[in-house]
Amino acid sequence: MPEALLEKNNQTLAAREGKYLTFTLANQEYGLEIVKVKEIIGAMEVTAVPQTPAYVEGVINLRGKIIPVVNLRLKFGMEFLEHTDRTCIIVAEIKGRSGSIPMGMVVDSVSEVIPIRREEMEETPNFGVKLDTEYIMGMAKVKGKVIILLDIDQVLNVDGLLLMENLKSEPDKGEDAGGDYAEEEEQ
Amino acid sequence: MIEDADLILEFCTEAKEHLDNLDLALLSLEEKPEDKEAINAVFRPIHTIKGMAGFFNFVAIGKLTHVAESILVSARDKGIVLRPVVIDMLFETVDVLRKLIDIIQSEVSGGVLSSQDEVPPEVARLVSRLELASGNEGFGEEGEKKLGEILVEQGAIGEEDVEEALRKQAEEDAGKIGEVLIRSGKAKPQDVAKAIREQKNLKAGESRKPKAEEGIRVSVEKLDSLVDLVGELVIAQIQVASSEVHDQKLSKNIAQLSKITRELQNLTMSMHMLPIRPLFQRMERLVRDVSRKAGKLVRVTLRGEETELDRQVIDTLADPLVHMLRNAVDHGIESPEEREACGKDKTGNIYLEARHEAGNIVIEVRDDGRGLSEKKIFDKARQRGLVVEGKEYSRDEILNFIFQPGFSTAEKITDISGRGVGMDVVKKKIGSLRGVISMDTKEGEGTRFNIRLPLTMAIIDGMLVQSAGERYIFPTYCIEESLKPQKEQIVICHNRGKVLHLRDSIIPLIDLDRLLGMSTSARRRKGPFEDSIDECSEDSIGSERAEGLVMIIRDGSNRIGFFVDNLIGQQQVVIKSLGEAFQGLQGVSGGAILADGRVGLILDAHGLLEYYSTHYQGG
Repeated sequence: MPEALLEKNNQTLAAREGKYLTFTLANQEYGLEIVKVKEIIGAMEVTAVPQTPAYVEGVINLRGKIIPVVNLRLKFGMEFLEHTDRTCIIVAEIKGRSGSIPMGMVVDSVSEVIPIRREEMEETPNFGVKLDTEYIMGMAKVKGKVIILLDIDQVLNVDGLLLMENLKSEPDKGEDAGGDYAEEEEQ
Repeated sequence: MIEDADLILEFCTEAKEHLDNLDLALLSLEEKPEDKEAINAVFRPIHTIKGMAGFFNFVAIGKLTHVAESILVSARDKGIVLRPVVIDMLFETVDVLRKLIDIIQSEVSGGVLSSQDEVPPEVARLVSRLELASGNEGFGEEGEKKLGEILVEQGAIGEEDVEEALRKQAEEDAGKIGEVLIRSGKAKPQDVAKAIREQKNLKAGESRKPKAEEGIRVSVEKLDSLVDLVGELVIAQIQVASSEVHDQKLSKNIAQLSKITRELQNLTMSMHMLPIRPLFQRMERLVRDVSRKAGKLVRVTLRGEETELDRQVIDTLADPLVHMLRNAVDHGIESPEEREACGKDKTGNIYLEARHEAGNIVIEVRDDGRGLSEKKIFDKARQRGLVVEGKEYSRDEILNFIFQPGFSTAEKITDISGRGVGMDVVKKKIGSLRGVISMDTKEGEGTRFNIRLPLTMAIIDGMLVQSAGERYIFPTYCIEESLKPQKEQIVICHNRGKVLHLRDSIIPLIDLDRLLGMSTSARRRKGPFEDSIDECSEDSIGSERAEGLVMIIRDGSNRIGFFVDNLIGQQQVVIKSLGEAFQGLQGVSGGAILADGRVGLILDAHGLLEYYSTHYQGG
C-alpha cells in the first residue's frame, strides 16, 4: 500500500509541475501557478468597501471593470505594510459561482517567473493542528530558497469577501442575485 | 452534453422572436382577415420555425407549424377569409409553440433534452382541431400565387375557364396552364405573359421582405466590455486634454479626438437601448385575451413604439404593465351594455404610449372606462384602515392611496385581477427602476397612469461627496436637501445617537463613515482578523462630530441625515456592478469610475436606511 500512496503523491506533484510566479510577503517567497495569473499591475489607490473583513482592501478600476482587491499580508495574519513603490497587485482568476472572476492581491513585491520541476517539490510538512495548511499546495526548493506554493482557490473565494451577517441577510433584489446564500454558509 | 446545444439555444431565441412577430401579425390579420399581405406576414415566421424545427427534428413543433402553415396557404391561395375561430386557434398555436420552445430551452440550458419524437397530447389535440379547420385538404408546398388566379384577377378570363383548363391539363397532361389557355383560345398570349411577369414579381417581393431589418446578434458581455473600454477611453482622453499643450496643431488634434470620443460614447450607450415595440405588442395581445375572457370589447392604440429604452428597463417593465392593463380591462373598461347605456362607444379604448419628455421616458397607460371617484377611493382607504381620522387629505394624497399595500377597489375578486396584490407592487417595481408612477382619474371618463423613467439604467445623476478620505455618490433622486446645521439644531440623545431638528421634524443623524464602518486608514491598521464594523458604543457618541455638512436622504417616508466632510459636486456617472464577490452589500448599489480613474461607491438610500435600522436602532 505505501508504494501506491507514494505513486499517487508523485502523480499529484507531477501535475503541479510548471511555471510559477513568485512574489514576497514579509521576506518569504511565495509561488502562484502562472496559468492563474492574469496580469500584474503597480499599486494604485484602492477604494475601501464597507462590511468587509479587514483583509479586503476594496475595489480598483481595471480598464473599466471594477475588481476586488485583497491584502495577502492581512489575509495571512501578518502586519499591515503601507504601499511602497515595490508593492504590486497580482490580478488572478479566482473560482466564482459561475466561471472565474478576476481578483487583485496586494503583495510586497513580485520577483520572477520560474519553472519548478517535480524533483524540486515537496509535500507540505505537517505543522500540527494549530496551523492551517489547506491553502499551501506544496513547497519547493529552488536555488537554495524555499518557496511556498499557494493554492489560490483555497486562499481566496468569492464568498469570503463579505462579513458573515451580510451573507445571511441578502436583501430582496428581485433579480437573479438572491437565493443561493442559504446553502453557502461557509466556514 | 447535448449535441448542437448552442445551435438549439440559438434556434430558441430566434424562434421566440418570430413568435413575438407572429402575435402582432395575427392581430393585424384579425383586423383584416381578407388581406393577403397580412396572411403572408403570419405565414413567413411559421414557415421559418417549421424549417428550423425540421432541422432539429422537433416533431411536435414541426407538426403544429405544418398544419398552421397549410391553413394559411389555403387561405391565401384560395382567397378564403379566415374565420375568427380559426384565428383564435392560430393564437393558441403561437402560445403552445412558445411553451414548447420554452421547455426545450430550459432543458438544453440544464443539459438534458428529453426526446422530441413524441407529440404531447395537448399538441396533438390542437393539431387535429387545426386539421379539421383546414378541411383535411392537402396543399401544394410552394407558396406562390397560381397563374390562373392572376389571370382571373386581371379580368382576362373567367374562373370557369381556369377550372376547365385545369381539368384539361390534368386529363391530357397538356403542359403548363398558360399554354393550355392560349391553345384553347381562352386567353390572349400577351395576357398570359403579363400574368407570368406579375407572378414573378410577387415571388421576388416575398423573398425580399424578410431582409428588411438588418442586424447582427452581439452578446451582452461583448457590449458591456465595449462600454467599459469606451468609458476608459473617455477618462484617458480627459487626462490628455487637461495636460498643458503649447503646440497648436497638437491641441487641435486633441480637440478632434475629444469630439470623436464623445460621439463614440453616445453611440455605445445607445447600443444598450431597444425599442419598446415588442413589449407593447405583447401587451396588445394580453389585452385581447383578457378582454375576451371578461366579455368586453377593447381597442388598443399603441403610440411611440419606436421609443428606445434600456434593455433592463424593458424587462422589468413587463410585470407592472401586465398588471395595469389587466386592471384597465377588468375594472376600468365597462361591459358593452354598460357603455352603451352611458352613451359611449361599445368598444372601449386603451392607449399605451411611450415618449421622451424632459430627459425622461414617459410611459402612459390610459383607458376611457368608468374611472374612479375620489370618494370611492377614500372610503375604501378608510375601510382598509389607511386613513388617519380627522386629517384633511388633498386630492393627490387621496389618489395616492391606491399605491398603498393591500388596497384594491375591485368589488369582486375575479380570476383576472383584484387579488389585493396591486398597485403597491407596481409602484415598487417602478421604483426599482428609479422611476415614479402617478395616477389621475375621473369618474365616468377613465383613468390615466403616468410612469416616468430615467433615460437609461446605465447612467445615474449623482452628488459626489467626500467622507473620511473616500468619495461616495448619492443618487440625486434620493437627496432631499443638504445643509450646514446650526449647533442648536442637533440634539444628542443619551445613548441613542444624534437627531437633527429641522423645521418641525426630527431626523436621525449619523456620520456616513461611521454607518459604513470605515475610516479607512485607521481600519486597515487595526490589524488582521478584526471585524470592521464599529459598534455604536456609548462613549463613541460623544466623540462624534456635531458640525459639518449634512445630506438628508429620503426613502419613501423615511429620512436620515448623514454627516459628510465635503460636497464635491453634481455628476453623471456610469453605474457598474461591484461583481459577485460583493453581492449582498447593504447600502451600496454599485461603483462608478470617477474622473481620475478611481472607483467611487454609489450609495443606495433604501439599503442605507435598512442597515441603519438594523444596526443602530433598538439596540
